[in-house]
Amino acid sequence: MATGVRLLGPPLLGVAAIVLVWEAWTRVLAVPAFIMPAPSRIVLRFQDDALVLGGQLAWTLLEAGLGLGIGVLIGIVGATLMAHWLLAERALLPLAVVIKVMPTIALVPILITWIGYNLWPKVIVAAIATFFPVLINMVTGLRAVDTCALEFLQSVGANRAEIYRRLRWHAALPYLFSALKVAINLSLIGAIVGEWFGAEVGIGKVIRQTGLKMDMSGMFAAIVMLVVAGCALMVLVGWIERRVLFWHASTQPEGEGAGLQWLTG
Amino acid sequence: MSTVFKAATAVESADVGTAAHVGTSHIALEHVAKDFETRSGSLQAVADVSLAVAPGEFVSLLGPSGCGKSTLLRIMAGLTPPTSGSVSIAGGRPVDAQREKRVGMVFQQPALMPWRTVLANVALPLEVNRRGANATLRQSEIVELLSLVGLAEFGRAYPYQLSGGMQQRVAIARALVFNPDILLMDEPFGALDEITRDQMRYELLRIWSAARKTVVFVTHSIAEAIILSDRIAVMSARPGAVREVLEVRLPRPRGEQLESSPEFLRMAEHLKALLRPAGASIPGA
Repeated sequence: MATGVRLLGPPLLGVAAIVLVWEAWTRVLAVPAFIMPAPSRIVLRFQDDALVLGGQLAWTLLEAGLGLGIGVLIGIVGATLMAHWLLAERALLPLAVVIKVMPTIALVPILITWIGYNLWPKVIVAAIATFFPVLINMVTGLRAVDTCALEFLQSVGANRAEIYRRLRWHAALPYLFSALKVAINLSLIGAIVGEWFGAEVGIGKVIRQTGLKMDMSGMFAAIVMLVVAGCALMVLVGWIERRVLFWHASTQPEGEGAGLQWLTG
Repeated sequence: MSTVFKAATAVESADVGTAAHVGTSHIALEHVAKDFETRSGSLQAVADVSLAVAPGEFVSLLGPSGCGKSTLLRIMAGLTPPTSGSVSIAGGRPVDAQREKRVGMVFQQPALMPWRTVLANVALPLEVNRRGANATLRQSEIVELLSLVGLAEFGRAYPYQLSGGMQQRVAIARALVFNPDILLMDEPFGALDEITRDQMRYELLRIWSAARKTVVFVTHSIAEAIILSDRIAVMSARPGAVREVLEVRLPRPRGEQLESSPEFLRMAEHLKALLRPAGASIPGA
């Protein structure tokens, strides 16, 4: 219990302070709700809309999740090729950079024209947003293996596939988890950007429609829903990371920022 | 001691003190040289090294950093080919000796896989060579290897839970898992603190007396070379070459009292003089 307070106390205090200032500001200056709703109003609206928003969120999470899965898969496969064959790196890395720097927002109308107002344009945008950090981190991780460990495996006759399986893959996992923590948020943003341009369901659609109606509290309620989901996913990835990478220095309880591990992994 | 080491006991009767004169050498290097291509041209790391090691013999390669002793060891391990000269390991090419699992290697770093338990680390060479004929060592035999290196209780521990010295002992057990005839050790205690290092020398002697292997041991520590070796090949740098091969005529088993004996000190003085760069003067000497 005491450790719970020690861990959760400071961040909750930080959030509480901002919420209080915000509440006081909107009340004292009597800011109209269609410009900036008070936190209390947002909370009430969130309570009213929670079920509907939850349904919309589930759809957005599905899009983001599928996109993240595809992006991670592309990133891992691409990094595996690039870490082993210089030719693959020369051929694929510029392509990856081109795809990455293309403004995804500009892609959405094209994708919708091709595929329609369904799930897939959002999934593709989420995948494009997520594959790059995974690719770059994994290439680094697959290469950053201990020279002695590599020579040891060679000295017992391991071939490249076995060195990948027994050494490189494990050595790259910490890098993969770092990339995942960035990619999770990118996948959500990707899905919402996709929904922005036209969707039947999804949090992105809710934000756009409430925006058009100047329904600020509805919009904020949707954003709160997204923030809660984003935090929950970060905590989940951190939790998985600490179990998978129990052997890695980054998961040891000592060290800087250790108290916030539950949030940042 | 166990079934694991049966093959090695045959060589135990060899008179290690005079092993150099026995005709059947386990490791034979003849005029071995190694060049590395660098941006500023070719760099000779090893120049014309000839060395023979008899079965069961413990030979140290002693020299300063950059004298090519690690390169020489990697040539013996088949990890890199020599530029010229011939290398015979257990009667064949280094690559063949490696394929037949006649050679075990220990590196400067333990190079354990941190995500594997100690047991799984020792068993890793077997997993890599699952298709090999020799790959059916049972769990109990791995535990036996661990007890040989004094870690019987730590099979389920992870490397990060062990000290540096214990990790290096795991690496030694892992090198012995195929029961090789030859053990190549590349400054295995170089990364340890002085106190652990002192202990590990005698620990290695104990392991060696239980599982008699032909050992080539790379070191830059004079004391380490004297305590462990039957013979010491003193190397000079740039390019790496064997300056002199010394026989260590100190009785075995060797203990810590050896380090204060007059023979030990005389030998250490001699080696120190040999390792001194030609023409260098020592202030105050």
